[in-house]
Amino acid sequence: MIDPPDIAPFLESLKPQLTTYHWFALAVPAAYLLAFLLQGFLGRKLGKAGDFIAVSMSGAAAVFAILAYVLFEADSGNSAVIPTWLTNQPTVEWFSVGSFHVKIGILYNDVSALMLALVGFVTFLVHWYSAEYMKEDAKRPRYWAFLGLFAFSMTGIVLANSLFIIFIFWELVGFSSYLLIGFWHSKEVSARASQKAFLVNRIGDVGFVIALMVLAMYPDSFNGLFGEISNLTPRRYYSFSEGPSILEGGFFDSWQHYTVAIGLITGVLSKSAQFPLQVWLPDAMAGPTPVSSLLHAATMVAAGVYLLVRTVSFFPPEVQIALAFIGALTALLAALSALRQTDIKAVLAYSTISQLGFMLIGIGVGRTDFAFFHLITHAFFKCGLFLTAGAVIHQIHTAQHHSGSHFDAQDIRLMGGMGKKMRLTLVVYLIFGAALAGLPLSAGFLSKDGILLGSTLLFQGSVIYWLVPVMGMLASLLTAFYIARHGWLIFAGSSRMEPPTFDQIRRVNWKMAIPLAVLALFSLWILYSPTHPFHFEPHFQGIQLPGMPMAELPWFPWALTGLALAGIGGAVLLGRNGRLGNEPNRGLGKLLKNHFGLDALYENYIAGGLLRIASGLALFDKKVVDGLVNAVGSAVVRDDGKWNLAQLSDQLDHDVIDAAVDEVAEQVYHRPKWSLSGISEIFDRRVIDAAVNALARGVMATGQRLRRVQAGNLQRYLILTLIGILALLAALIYFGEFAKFS
Amino acid sequence: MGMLTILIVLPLVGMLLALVLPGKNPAVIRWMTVGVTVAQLAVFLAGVLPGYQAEAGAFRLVEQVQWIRLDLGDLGLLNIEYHLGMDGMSLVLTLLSVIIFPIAALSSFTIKKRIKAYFALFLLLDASIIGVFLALDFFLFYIFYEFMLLPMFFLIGLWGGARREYAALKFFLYTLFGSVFMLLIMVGLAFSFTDPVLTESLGRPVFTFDFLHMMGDGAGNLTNMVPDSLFSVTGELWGIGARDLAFWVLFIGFAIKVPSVPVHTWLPDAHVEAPTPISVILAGILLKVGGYGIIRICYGIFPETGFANANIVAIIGVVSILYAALVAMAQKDLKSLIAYSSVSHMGFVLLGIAGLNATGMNGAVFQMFNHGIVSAALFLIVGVLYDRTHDRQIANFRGLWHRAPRYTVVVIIAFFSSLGLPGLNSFVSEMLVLFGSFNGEMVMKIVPGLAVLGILFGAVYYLRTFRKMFFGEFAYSGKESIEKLTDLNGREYLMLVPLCILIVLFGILPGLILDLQDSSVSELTTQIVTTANNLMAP
Repeated sequence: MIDPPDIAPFLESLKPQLTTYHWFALAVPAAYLLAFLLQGFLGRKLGKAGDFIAVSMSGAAAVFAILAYVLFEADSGNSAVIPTWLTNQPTVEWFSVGSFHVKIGILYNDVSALMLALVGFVTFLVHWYSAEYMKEDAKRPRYWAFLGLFAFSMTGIVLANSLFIIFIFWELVGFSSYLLIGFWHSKEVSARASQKAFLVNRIGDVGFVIALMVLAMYPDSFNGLFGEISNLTPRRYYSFSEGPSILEGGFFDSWQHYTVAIGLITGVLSKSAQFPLQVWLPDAMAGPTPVSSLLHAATMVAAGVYLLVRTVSFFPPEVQIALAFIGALTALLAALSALRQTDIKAVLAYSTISQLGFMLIGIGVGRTDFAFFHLITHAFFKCGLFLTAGAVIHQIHTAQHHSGSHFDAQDIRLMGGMGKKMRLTLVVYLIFGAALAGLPLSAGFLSKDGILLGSTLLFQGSVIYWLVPVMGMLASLLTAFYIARHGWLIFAGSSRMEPPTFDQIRRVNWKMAIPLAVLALFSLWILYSPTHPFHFEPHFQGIQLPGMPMAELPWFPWALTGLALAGIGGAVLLGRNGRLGNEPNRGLGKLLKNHFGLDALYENYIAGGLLRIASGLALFDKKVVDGLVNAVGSAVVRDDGKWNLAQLSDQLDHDVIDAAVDEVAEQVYHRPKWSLSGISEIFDRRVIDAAVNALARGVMATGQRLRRVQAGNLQRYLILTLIGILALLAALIYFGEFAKFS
Repeated sequence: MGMLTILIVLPLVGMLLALVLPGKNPAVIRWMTVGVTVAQLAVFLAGVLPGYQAEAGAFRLVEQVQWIRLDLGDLGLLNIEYHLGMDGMSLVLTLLSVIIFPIAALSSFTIKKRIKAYFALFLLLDASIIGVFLALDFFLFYIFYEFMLLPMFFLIGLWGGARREYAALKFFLYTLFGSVFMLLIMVGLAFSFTDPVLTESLGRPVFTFDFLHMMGDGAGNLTNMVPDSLFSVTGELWGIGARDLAFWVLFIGFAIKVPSVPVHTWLPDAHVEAPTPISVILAGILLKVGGYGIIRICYGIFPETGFANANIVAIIGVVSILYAALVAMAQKDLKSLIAYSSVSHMGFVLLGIAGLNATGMNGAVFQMFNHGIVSAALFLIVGVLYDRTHDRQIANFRGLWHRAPRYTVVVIIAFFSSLGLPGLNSFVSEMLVLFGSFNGEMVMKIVPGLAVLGILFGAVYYLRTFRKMFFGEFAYSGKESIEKLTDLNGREYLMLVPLCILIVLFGILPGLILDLQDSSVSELTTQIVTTANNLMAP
């Protein structure tokens, strides 16, 4: 038998390394995996209890994640110069071939601790919310299973301590996201969106895999992540591997170094939806709204940024600064597109792309800490915005159901006045919106402030970089405008729905309201910087930065506030005059709405081109490659389509084998010391003839006997078999001829 | 009788039974075949595997019996032996075979005509394929190799679809081309190597067909080579090095089996015409004979030519990966799409071999194993639709997810494994191949770099197919009644569920297979490289 993997030594090898917080951290993905298996295999049998189980399991996971975080923060070993988390990464070998080892290990430091707690917490809120939002859907077990798989994969990315293992979970996140976007599989739009998301992410994977291939050239490079501890010595890189590693032997600033960095960034651009690979994200809104809030706003798209946070200090500086430009460009382009969207979720989708761009700016200008902080605050307020949008859609759907009307429940041009019906929703929306716009006293203000300040300081250092803060500020202004437009069209003024439907709109019940309220709390300044609402210096041990001075610019918070107010003011002004939502869809506006035609570019030229090449090659394969084969074939096969093996072998003998044999024999014959002549006679008689005769006799005899047993039925088959064997033997005999020749 | 002989004889006994048993009751013959193949699996798991693990050395469970010894007068003796043995590579490929055959036997229940002949040939095929993986004597290998082709020819030609005769003939001609040259080279090789032990004890040169004597020893020296013989280092034919020529001729022969572009065109035809179980065996096992032959014979016996030309081998692999993936994108018939995807995924085997390091070679062998499992599942999946509707046109199906959710789960597992999703089996082997070939001494970096596009193209054709057939509202626009499209039945569960379990199992615990093959494949690779370096040293 194949030995079952021996669990005991596996656990034994883990024990001395695993501290309590590691156990709790590991319990998080374990809970999600269990939830996936439970819902996947038994979901239908669970019935109503299934929802409760799903929500409580994700609740348990959130508790584990938060407990692990608290325990980690309390551990004094982690404030040392070389903290415990760096030296203690529980690792176990997954598989090995030759000298190539792949290990699975966890890296639990305050960055991953915080990220895990964030993912666990937001996932729990979304589960809670989904139980109410999806309660009419009979396919809920599948929904819970997919969500469980997604959360499992996401927490895998968070905890893994090597790029190879991160890539595995990275792919699984893409896969579970494919399933969730396509959850309503009967809808054509879901089908296309899920395919697009997966394929665009695969483009990034090509880069990621190339990075892995380069890293695999170095022994033990998959034993840990790379990074830099700047407080030990400047630009001293560390690796978590034992033994020889990438850090020895001139890796840095070699082509390998650049390839790895660019490859990883390609992966990040696809996962975090950055230019030019951002095209999949707006379509991904085809999935259920809680899915959009979790995957395509709070967590999955943040995975790319998270990967950068963990690895950026390993990048060559010029590659790092390129990130700032990509981020700024994406932030601006997406903010421009968000201006003209009319779908309630599309505005938020472009907003997500834009905000992820801000995070990239932060990383590019060396403010990784603020980029990560923005990831956290964005997760809360963007998740909140999506859930609010979900609440609006859900209530409109319910109202439509009661009043029997049908219209697009996601079109903000058809809404208006919802604030009168959904007071609480309006209040939390205002908080989320303020955080997105970057108004003071919101969490978004604190994080965006740091990023833009960082980029401005970089600008002061060198003039070529001025584009980054300028594009960032402009995007910031547009952000305030589009979110105010979004809010105005949904909540303000009077309703543009038919009155019977509007009358049926009810406020959300407490089950949906609780997650919204919690998220709103986390979108305020109070939890992050209670005493200092206008400035915050996040401190993460895990992120160590090359010494970038962080000067205070006293005018900076005022400037940001001014930008946000200007944007909001502009939108409100236009809204009051009734000039929002009815923008003409032509010219520049159309270009903005279609995100600069990028989609069409991919659709027509890249995807279309690939398929045209494919069709061309298929034709080539059929006509030319196979045609050649058929031409050769028809030279030896009769024209009428019937074939005759005897004739065939005859021809083959004469045309091919004989000719070849003659040639070979001639060559062999002229060799001085080595000749076949002596053996030919004997070999021919003793081996070939004897074997042929014996075989032929045997086959014939068996054939006769079988024919008697099964008269007629087997006839054709036997004759064919005989002919076949004889054809082979003919080859053998000819070989005898070959021997005789000499 | 040794364990390995039992593995080969068991299906032969089954073949005789199939011929003797009365044909009136097909169920008896069917279940007898299933029984024999399951017994073979049991012998493997209970006898061969523990036996293999209990022994040490490169080749284990060796059975060596003198068979034909021919007196050549002054020249010496020619020795042919019944020599079986197992190393890590043949262990893994034999395991694959004994897993696939019971499933193919179950799948053969849909065969309705000439049951006796069908199952007799089926079992003959079984015996010869196992024999090919276990034979260590070239003559014995050749006999098994030929006996593998014949039943295949008839199984396609008699039980296939509308153009079965064309497909069978094409298969036959292609393969014949390879085997004729293999025969010539085999005899040439026999007279170029002697058996050291017998030569010593008999006091006369004893020429041998034994693979082990033709390969380098531990130190990478060809100690048994007859000086100035045809396939000695200095041997020439038409002014070309005879060993180079032999390597390439054999390589083409085996590349036809793999199959590699441009000698792949028999495969789509053979698959499209073959009945489902035969496609399963063809893709699942038979193609692996090509990869096995390239490693064992081309690289094992002619390491220096293989080493010097590793980059060309890698390029052939990458061209197969990309070309076949692109052609697959344009296919309208689900079965021919999967046939082309087979060509594409087998390209990784060549690429891994070309790396000529432990990572790449292990990846190549593991890729053969994984592709065997996945492609068997994929062809069964096509069979499920074809049995119900006699239709395989992708465009005719829509919204199958809604109609057949269980079938959909199986399809998702098989499709995503084939496109290389981590957690499913093909991922690890493809990564090992990429890592190994990228690190290959003789391979240009750009070659495996381009191969990465294969993972993108693979996703394109699988996801497009999945979207077209499984998403959307349920609809069927073929000729059969829509009512016939039902979810999986019990027999199909029995075939597909074990495969899906294996896909997931080996995806999560690749070590189960890699540990079986690693030490021996790594050793073989080292031996190939040291022998090559020794031979090429001035």
